[in-house]
Amino acid sequence: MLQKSDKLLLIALSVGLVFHGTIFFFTFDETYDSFVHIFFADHYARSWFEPWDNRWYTGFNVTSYPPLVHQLTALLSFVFGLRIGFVLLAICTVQLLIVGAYRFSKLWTTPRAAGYAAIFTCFVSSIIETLHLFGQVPTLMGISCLLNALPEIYRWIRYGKHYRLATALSIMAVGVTSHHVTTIFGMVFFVAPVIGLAVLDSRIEKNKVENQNNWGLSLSMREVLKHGSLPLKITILDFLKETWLKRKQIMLFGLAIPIVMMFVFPYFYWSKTDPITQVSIPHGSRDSFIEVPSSGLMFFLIPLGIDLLLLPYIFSRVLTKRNIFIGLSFTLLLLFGTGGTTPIPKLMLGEDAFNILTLDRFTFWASIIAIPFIGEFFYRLIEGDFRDYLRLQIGIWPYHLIWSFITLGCITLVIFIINLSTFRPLQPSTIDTKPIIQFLERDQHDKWRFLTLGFGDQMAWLSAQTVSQSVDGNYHSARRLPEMTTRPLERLENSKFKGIQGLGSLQQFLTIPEKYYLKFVFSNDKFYDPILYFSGWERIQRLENGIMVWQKQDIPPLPSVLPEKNLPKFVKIYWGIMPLLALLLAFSINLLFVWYARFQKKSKYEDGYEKDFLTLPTIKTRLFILMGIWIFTLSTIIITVFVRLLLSSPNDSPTKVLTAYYDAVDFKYFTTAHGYFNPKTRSSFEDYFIKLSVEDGILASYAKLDNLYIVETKIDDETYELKATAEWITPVEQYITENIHKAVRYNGKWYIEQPKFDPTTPPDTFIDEAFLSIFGHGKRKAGVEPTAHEDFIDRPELKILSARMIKLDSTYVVVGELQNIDNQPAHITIQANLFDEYKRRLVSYNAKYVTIHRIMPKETIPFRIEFEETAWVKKDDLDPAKFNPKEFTKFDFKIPPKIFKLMVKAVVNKNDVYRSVGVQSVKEDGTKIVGDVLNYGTEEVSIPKLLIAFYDKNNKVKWVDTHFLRYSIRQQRMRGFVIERSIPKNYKDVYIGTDDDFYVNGLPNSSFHVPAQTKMLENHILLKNLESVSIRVDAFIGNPTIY
Amino acid sequence: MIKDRKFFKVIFFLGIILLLAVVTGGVGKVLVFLSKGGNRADLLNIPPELPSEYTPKVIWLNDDTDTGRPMESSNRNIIAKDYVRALYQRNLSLLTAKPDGIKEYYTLAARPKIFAQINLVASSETSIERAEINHNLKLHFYSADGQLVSFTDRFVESRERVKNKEGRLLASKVEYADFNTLMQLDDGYWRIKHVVRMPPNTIPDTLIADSTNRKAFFLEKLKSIKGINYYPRDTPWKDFWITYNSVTTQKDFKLIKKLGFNTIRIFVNFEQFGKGNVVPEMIQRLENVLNTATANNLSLIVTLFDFNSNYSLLNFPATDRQLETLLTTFKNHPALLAWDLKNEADLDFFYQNREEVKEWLKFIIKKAKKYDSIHPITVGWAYPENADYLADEFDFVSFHYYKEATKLGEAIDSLRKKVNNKPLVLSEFGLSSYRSKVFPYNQTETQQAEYFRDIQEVLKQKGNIPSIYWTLYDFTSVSSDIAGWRPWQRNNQKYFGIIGADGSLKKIGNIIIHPEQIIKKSFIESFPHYSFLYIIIFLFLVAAFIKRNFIFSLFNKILK
Amino acid sequence: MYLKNKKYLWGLFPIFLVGIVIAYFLFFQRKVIISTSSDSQFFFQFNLPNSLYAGSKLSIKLPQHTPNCQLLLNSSWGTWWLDLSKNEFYIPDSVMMQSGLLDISLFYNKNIIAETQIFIKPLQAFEPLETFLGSKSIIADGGEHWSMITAIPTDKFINPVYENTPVHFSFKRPNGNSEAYDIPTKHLVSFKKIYSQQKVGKTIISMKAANAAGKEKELLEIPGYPRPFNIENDELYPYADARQYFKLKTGIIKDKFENVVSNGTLVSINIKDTDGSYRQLTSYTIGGIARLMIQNPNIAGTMQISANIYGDVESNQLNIQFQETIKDFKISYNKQTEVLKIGPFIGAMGQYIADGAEVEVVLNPRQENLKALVIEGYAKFNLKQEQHPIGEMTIRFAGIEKRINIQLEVKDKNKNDKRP
Repeated sequence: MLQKSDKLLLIALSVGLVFHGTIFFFTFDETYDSFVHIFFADHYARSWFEPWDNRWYTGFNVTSYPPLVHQLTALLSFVFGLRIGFVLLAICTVQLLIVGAYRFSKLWTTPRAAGYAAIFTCFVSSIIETLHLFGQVPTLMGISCLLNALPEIYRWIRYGKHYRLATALSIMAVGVTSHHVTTIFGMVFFVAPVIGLAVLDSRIEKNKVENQNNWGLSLSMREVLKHGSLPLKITILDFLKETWLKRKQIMLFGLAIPIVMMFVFPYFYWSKTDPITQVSIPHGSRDSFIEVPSSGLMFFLIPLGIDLLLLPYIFSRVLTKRNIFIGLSFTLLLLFGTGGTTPIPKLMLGEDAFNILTLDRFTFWASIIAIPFIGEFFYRLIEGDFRDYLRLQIGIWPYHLIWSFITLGCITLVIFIINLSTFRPLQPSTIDTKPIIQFLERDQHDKWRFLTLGFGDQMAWLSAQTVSQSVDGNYHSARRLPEMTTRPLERLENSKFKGIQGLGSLQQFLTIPEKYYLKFVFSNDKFYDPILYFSGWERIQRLENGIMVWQKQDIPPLPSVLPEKNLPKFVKIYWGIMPLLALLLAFSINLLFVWYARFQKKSKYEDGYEKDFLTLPTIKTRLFILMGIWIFTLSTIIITVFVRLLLSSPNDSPTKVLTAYYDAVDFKYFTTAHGYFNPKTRSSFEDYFIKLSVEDGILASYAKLDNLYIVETKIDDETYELKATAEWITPVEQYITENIHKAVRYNGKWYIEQPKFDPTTPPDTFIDEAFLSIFGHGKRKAGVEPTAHEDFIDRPELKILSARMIKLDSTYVVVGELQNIDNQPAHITIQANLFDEYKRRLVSYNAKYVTIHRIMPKETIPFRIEFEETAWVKKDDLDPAKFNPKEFTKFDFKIPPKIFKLMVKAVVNKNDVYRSVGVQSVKEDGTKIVGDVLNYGTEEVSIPKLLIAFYDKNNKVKWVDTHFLRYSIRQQRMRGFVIERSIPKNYKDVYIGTDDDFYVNGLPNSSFHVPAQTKMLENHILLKNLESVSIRVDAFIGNPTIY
Repeated sequence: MIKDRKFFKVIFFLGIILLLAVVTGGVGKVLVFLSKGGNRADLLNIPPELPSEYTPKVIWLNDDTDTGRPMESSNRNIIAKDYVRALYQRNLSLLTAKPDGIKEYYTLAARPKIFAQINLVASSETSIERAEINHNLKLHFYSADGQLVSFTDRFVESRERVKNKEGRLLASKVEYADFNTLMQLDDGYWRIKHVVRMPPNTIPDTLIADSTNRKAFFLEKLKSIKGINYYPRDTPWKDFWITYNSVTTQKDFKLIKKLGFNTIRIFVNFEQFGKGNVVPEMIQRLENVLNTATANNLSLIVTLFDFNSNYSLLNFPATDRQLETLLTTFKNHPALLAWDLKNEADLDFFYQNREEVKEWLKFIIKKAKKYDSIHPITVGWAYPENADYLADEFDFVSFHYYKEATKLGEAIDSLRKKVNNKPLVLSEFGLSSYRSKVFPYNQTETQQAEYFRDIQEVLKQKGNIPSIYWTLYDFTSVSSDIAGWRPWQRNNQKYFGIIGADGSLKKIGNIIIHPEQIIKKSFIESFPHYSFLYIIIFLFLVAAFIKRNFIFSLFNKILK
Repeated sequence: MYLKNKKYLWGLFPIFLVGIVIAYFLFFQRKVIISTSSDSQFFFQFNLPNSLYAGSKLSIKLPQHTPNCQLLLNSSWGTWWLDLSKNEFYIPDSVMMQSGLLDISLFYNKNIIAETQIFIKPLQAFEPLETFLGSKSIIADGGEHWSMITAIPTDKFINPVYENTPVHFSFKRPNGNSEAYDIPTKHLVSFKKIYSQQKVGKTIISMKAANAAGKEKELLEIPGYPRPFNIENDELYPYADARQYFKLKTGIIKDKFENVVSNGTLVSINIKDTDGSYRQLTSYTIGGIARLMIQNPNIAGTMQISANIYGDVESNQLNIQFQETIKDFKISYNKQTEVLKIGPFIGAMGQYIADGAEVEVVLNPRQENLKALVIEGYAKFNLKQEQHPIGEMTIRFAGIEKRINIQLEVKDKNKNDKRP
């Protein structure tokens, strides 16, 4: 029954309500996971009993996550809406957590100290981090149910009243349905120690009978000894005998646990076969915290927070005889919490469990166990015996200094955690999803799938508001702190899209979108523009919120019958009812029954729980000295680290200044970058900034620094020469650049020389150019019914000139050439299907980069198609931790293909028709071909891509290759290039395509007639070995003047 | 004393830490177990193309002279595929009364006409099973931009069955008609725009019936057959075709020839052969079996549609296609003697709907005669009493017999009365030499040999009817879906062979090689194995009865 | 918790029960089949007309006390199964609206009692007349290409009209004359091929069937494949300074029938440069004319320019002469600051050449070549700063090569010997 609860609990509840209630409204949309839970809640709001949801991963089952929190948010959303509903639920969970902590602390300390513990719970840094940084409300709900259940379990084991068993099980059932892992591990780390405690207490209680007078359930045996006259010894044997006596309760409780687990039976039923739950997420908590200090900070220092300072006190209280069990689990949890720093957790948990479980939950549980003892510490410090002792020993003012220092430390830590995302943003800045939703609902756009790039975890919030389906999902968000990470590429971590195991890599989504019915891409990050453009996507609109909408033409709409993995009807109903049933059950047993019992005066349910009181151990000076030393050392370490960070300026050594310069450029902090130049020789900042801003191109504006190696050679003590090799990750390729920098010491500080810029001046001041701009009406009469037949524009006619299938060691490649013989520019999709000798189709794939996707009338382009299979389907290949531009999963040809069919489709193309760029002074130099790319038009070419086609003796395409230039080419300027002339060595023709293998727009190639090219084409440069090569330029214009 | 108390305390704590570590490891393992085993590939859900098992016969008759624009072969296949898929979608909706999928295959104006039918089926609590068996398409018009096509589907045989909710047959009908159809290419799908049903006009049959009456030659050959049903020793029933091994086949056929047999009966698994789209590799394996038979100058009786128990109309086209592929491929093979269209069809009378099985049999016989008019066809009935069904349709009547040899005579007589002069073949008979140590089953090898001799005796009296013994080998393992999962049913199937599991010739083998030999019978042999077990149990029961109160007290102590 | 031994006996009872159930399940499981078929018959004969118009009413009258039987209808679009509740039964409209052969069979207790066939005839053509235009744009090459207008007249219930219903087509061609045709429907469609003429423009097509007219359709006739054309250049600055541009223009490219090719036709321009290297440039036509700007070569000589479109469409070849801009340049080396100054670079008309031109210096002993850019007429090399060894060097610019040898003790700045 409800004991006369301490007034402090009421204070704690109100503080918690005010503090968390207000703050969570502002921080929850910056967290990692709250939008995922909101999305699940939206699913339940739309279809309660149907767990299949099409909106993510081409359809998945929501039974892959325990449902209670989501279902409650769904219920609240009918009244308050999704966002408010979620925040209200989070606030109730925090209240439940505070009550749980209070009742849990009463197991270990006096009620007054438990009150202090309740207040402290509002400021426990691990809870704040889980709520305000991660947004993990189900974990909080799970832990609060566990904490509330522990005192019930204690009373059941100790007094054996069946009512207590019912309350314990009902609360745990709620815990299971909201976060089953907490309950499963909770068994080992919370329930077992509490059962041990109950058995130990009932053993101690026997002593109470013998020495009546000042019996005290002392926390340490020596205390009891002092009180009681008889020497009291509790040996292990007594403990075991006592457990045997209690076996009925323990067995009954043990048997009931699986039944409680059955409340989320469909989760266990399904997760064995559901691949979603099995994707191993690269998680910070598994790194060794010394190598990756940011993970250390995020998953060890922040969650423990003040506990670190008071560790000696906690250990002194936890390792007493009575609390030995919770002490052991606390040490073990701390050990696991250290993650990869020591090999022990990996040994204990086993290789697979170590890679699948995220270890930050162990630190979180350790901090929860520490709450009662820290509460007790504050109680004794502020009004207990510590206060008198310290005032006596070291005087009043030093005492005030100490406790104000500790509370101040605690509060600053809390403020730092809440505002962590403002110092270093975890997510891309919040995106207004309204324009995207309107776009998806307009003109049946939701009959295709879409893909978000650079949204981070806000993608879940977008999915929650629309019915249209996304190709990827946000089930797991790799919780890394991007801005804090040392390795520059980590900065791409959360928002960069890497693809999904079993579904495909980003390159596959964009190359064969018709397989996924993917038509729209919402890109929030310029980084992806090159991949999208060169895979054949076109920009149709920049929405009001700055998101660029890309579209791929010619994609069939989603069929009306989509595949579905159906759960048996009984499982669906079970999943819909059981969690809420558990909640109602818990509510009725714990609250209604209490009122009924009081009404009926049932003494059957009274037990001696309120009567015993716990005495606090006496003060030992040794403890104070130890704590003093510990706090002193810790604070000095922190301060020194902080000061060193502040004072160390990048100009201390040449390598440091160069790394700082590269970082500044990578982060586009140009003023600081300018600050690193040698003051003597550097030009003014404005001059540097103008010249820099003019630089564009894949390296300047699309690349991200992966890592940097610097070699110092000392010329004299004033100047150093630094050879910096930098690895850049760009959307399409990985570059390694080597530049020589000179570091000069100028009055004590090291600087580097300013890089020189291209001083050439174009000859003409003003260029004008005639430009073809095209507009297609599409549906001429606005309305809902589908486009009328006469509004369709005919598909442009193409002619496939030649194509062949070649074998390169174990893979097969199709190369060829085609011409647009129509009078309108065409957007083409080239697909090759390979067949074995029984005419069974082995694989079909589209051309990716190695062609030009938009061709003008009468233009001929070469193409090359390589074949991939869905990425990372096999068991052992792991999803790469970071974005890999060269991601390619080779299709393994078990049966050798014999013939191929080429299917080319064209649609009228309306933009990206810039053709005023060409190659000049091209000549053969040994095995290389050198030349310059000249831009003689009116647009700046951000990324020029060379398409190099090698022809054999009778003018048929033999091999095609691409080469991305690193820098942009401004109007009337040129850039040099050097490319390999070699055709892959193990080159073997397998099958030369004939006219009836080629199909254009579904009709055979032979039905299109064009005059044949008999003479040797002029634009084929004759090479020494009598073969010829032709070079074309495919120009990506980053920001075209005319859309 | 204090020292070791401390020592005990340390051991106790270390023990607990170890325990905790093990428990956490265990819990970790449980969680890992729960989150492993999912197959990543099925994360991607791609809608399937045409269901592989619906494969009606599609023939393109020669096109009209002026079809507007010549049609290419690739588009011809796509149009035929989408036309068949559209009709299949309507048939599926009539069966399930659910309209999803119709939208893809019928134009906007045509959809209400299909939805009207579906609503009627849904409201009248009936389900209509309908399937078109063949399509003969004659192209009339193909528009310049390849978006419109008009053709006539001539002499379409479509079969219908109407069933109520419980699946009881209300009506079934076969009808023939022509359909003038107009289809339009829309959103990547060919959709039916107009259909007009016209009176049927027949088309010339391409397969000419065999005039040289070679069937009589095979019927004659049938009279003199001495056959054996064949499955390899280690890979019987479902494993035979999947793990086919031509070396074992060659070895076994040589052995069969040595044993004096001249005919072998084998079984073709319908599903493993790919239902409607017969798998090329499987045809190669069947061809290898036939070639090995010719090499050892044995002849083969091939039993089709083994393990197929789906008689719904939607499965008719698939059986039709497999029948056509196998018959037309192998009808000129020297080793082929006869086709057995279905093994023990009368067993399906129990499990399936009797009329449906009969309708399927009539349908498949007519088709078999069309595809291979040279070789005789039959169905191996499980019991002689049922062997008269459709007897006049078959070229010879074959039946199986596993009961006592004495009753065989009268069974043959009653059958002979019903089928008068149709040649008879006993295509399966035999006795198992299974001596179980536990269950009350005990046939000795001598009984098996005697059974074989008695059966041959009766057959000789009844005008030496040819027979095919079941089976060559004692099998090492029998799967439970053959004759039932109960151990004594499964083990019984293992000992029907002439050659024992260890490769030694059993008594029945000697009888076959030199029939006149007298079978020696030893005494101990007839003493059943299971009797030892029963004696021991009996003794145990008696002892238990004497000592009963001692056992009660023991129970009390434990439970207290 | 402790059972008295009497109670223990009761424990045995459930085990015994379960044993029996298992035994039954093992031994006595046999399926039971029941099949009832009574074939009472009654005689009935349909008397219905053998053809009707779509949409008309059709009723089946059964004699008084016939037991309730069922009707199986097979129409153009599928199968219908109807229970004949009362004796007078109207066939549902949705069936009567479908034209084509309707097969009616009466069923009683699983066998066919009577069977008949009615042909439902479609009505007159009804608005709107659905028409489809084949390829919407064809090449105006005098009849080689053709498009096709197809009409599918349907009646009020969207049934295709009766065979041989005439459809009237009329065309207005770009060259002014108009044509009209009457084509009967065959196999549900009536179509007419429209052969291209020689003049580019729009053909307007209208069609009518009985009293149903269709929407107006437009057929575009577009220019055909280009024919060889010529190219010319203007605004030429005839000096090889690798900086100025000159314009290149094609004549108006036309097809076989003098129609100007459509905008966007791509022309590829191939140039063999004065120094033997190649250029590949592209441009597309606007109003039949393709224009682009070509940069002057860096070495004097003749530049061969020709343009082509795939398919043997060649242009004439232009040969343009370029003289060299720089005759000579001086080199000076300042020993104290170890700066090598090259220049001044004076253009053909005495002007400083523009910034950014590249001067190449090859350090002979190690063949390492450095590049410096001309800024305000001079190119500077700070040998000390870039730690290059002193010694023999060759300097190349615009095709002119000079070799110098810097000795440590070179005293006179302007000594300019050309020792190897």
